[in-house]
Amino acid sequence: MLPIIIFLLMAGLTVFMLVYPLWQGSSAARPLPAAAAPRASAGKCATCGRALEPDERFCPQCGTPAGLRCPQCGRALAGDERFCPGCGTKLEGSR
Amino acid sequence: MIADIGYGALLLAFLSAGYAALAFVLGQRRRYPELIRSAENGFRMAALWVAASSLIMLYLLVSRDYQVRYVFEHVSNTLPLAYVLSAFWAGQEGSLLFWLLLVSMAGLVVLYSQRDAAAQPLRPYLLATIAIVQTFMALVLILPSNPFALLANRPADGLGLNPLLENVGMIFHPPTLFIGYALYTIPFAFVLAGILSGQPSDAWMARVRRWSLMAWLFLSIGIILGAWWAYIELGWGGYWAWDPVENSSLIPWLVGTAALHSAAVQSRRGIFRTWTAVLNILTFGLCIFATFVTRSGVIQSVHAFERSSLGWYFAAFLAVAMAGSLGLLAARRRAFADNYALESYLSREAGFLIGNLLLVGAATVVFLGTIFPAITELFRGQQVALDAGFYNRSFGPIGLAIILLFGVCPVLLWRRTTLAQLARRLIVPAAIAVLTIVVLIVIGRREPIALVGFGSVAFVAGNILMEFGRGALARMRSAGENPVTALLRVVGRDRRRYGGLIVHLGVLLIVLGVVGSGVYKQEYQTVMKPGETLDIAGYTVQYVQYVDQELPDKQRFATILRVSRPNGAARELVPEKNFHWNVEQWVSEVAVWSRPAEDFYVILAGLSSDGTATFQFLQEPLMLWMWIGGGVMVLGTLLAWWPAGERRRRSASDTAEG
Repeated sequence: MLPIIIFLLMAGLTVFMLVYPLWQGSSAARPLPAAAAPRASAGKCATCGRALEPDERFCPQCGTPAGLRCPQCGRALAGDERFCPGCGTKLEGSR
Repeated sequence: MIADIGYGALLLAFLSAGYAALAFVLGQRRRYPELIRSAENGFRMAALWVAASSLIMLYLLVSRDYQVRYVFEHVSNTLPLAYVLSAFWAGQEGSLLFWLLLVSMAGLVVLYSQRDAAAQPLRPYLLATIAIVQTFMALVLILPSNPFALLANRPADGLGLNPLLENVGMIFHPPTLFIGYALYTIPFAFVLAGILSGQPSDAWMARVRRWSLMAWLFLSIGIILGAWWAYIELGWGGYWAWDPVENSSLIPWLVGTAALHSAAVQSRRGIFRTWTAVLNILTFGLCIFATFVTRSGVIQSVHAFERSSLGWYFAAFLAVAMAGSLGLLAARRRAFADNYALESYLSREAGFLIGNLLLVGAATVVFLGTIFPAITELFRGQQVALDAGFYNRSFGPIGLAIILLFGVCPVLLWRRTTLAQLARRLIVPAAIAVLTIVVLIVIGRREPIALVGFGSVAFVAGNILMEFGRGALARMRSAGENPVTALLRVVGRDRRRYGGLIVHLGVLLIVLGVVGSGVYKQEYQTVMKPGETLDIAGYTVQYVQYVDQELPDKQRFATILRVSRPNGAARELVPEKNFHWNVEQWVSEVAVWSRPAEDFYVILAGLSSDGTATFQFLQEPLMLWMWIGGGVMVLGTLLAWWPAGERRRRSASDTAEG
């Protein structure tokens, strides 16, 4: 008998947890953010959209590489180039 | 009674997870946030009930409740507590419950970590996929593989653990492997969620990376521990037998390795997107396949797990999961289109691609070899297994090519490299390799496999160490740092890259062990009486005495040997051969003296009543490096995995200027 009572209590708790958010209704409902595709833009993290400081190479929120850019023309760089493939600027001090 | 509650908890876990999967998808499709919150609660409840049933299982094991069949079959009155706890994953039902527990806990981490705005469109599908996997596992546990099944009466003692499994390796090898398998659910869930939500894959692949690395790390540790356990416990002096169950853990590891490298290129260059997704899906599928091989009995294995209908549940789930996810990927393939094609075949991208193809090729070879017995049974009515020779001949060359690629790939530049650039950066490592080969020939080690193997290791190691040197030197020049600071800074600032290179160094050390023990292994067999002394291969072996002891779980026959080297170093080695009452079998316990140069491995092959013993002595050069290499791989992976900290941000400014 005792196992059945315990099981019913467990089942009751489960049902309560599932039903409670539905019963709470729309009063507590928050709209879902629209499924917008994140887009890489200057100064913003391509993954989470956080605004980045110019010297942040990685997004401090999600760790996405901010991407190296040519100081002359702004072209995205892989990091190994010695000259910018876009404008030919010599990339001193890069890796 | 408590067992019934455990079963009830599993039932509720099944229902909650099933409900959560449905509610997540419906809630997202219909834009019904309350339903999604209800689904999240379902997800939490599923994890709670899985945890509860796991705790109940542990309680039943520790309290030795032999009326529960699983406890009766895996625990006995004399079993030490550590093995009683490890019995949780020693058997089929328990290991599946353990797997479900791991997936549930990983799921909770995902639930609480993926909460930022950019994760929102992904999240319901992500959690739904995890919930579907949970639902399947819970279904298996409540139907064919119930861990809480009861016997009609309560026996006074249990059967206990197979004595071969009473080894430290056995406490850690299965759970690490299971953690790897279970964690690979998460990258799969990300891929599926990415496809279903229509999010661009570069955005969510960045989130997958650390999950994949962690899963890969545990799979690697599991495989290495399995090899170590086989070496120490099985008493045949080998570490890898190309047994189907071993292979079935190596296949997802190879494909998972390819997936990691493919993802690295995707995050760097925005190409290989479809390829990365496919590899992640396949890795998960191959983890399920491993369970199918282990549990179905379709392919005969020395691991000799119980055969059951369970394998077919896994086969069905595997078929549905693979067909569904690959089909969806094909339908949405446009979202995975690459920005551009490969620019040059002499570029780092191309190097990664070739490496990936080799890894997948190696996985295919092992996969075909593993299912070959089942195929021959289909056509010829009997199983024909392939011997180790097949694998060594086919896997060996591919492995060598992969190792050589380790050496070439890091010096290739992204996009394109000229032959002159390549030659300039390879000349020193090539010289080191040639020098190594010349030295080996001069000292009389002329076996072709050893020359090729050690030469390749020297080439690649030289190259990797030069990579570290180049990075450190650049910092010493530009920032005026001392060599140690420069090296630490350069590694700390690009942990992904240098962590990866350290993992490669670990693999090289493993290759040293494989080649050394493979080519130069020596075997001697002698009969000795107590008190006798013998010189073998540079060791003086004194057979001091033998011990015949009756213990509660076994009759112990141990021989005490005093082994010394000409330089005075000495060790006491105690090889044993014990008769275990519970399985009525002889089990050998080998004794090993590990030194960097070689292992001295002693097996007690036979013992007569007057103490005359037959010993097998094995000399296994460089074996120790295999385990050290495994440790180095773990360190490198952790370095690559470790979150970027404050230091990274502070030191970022100088590169942004360049």
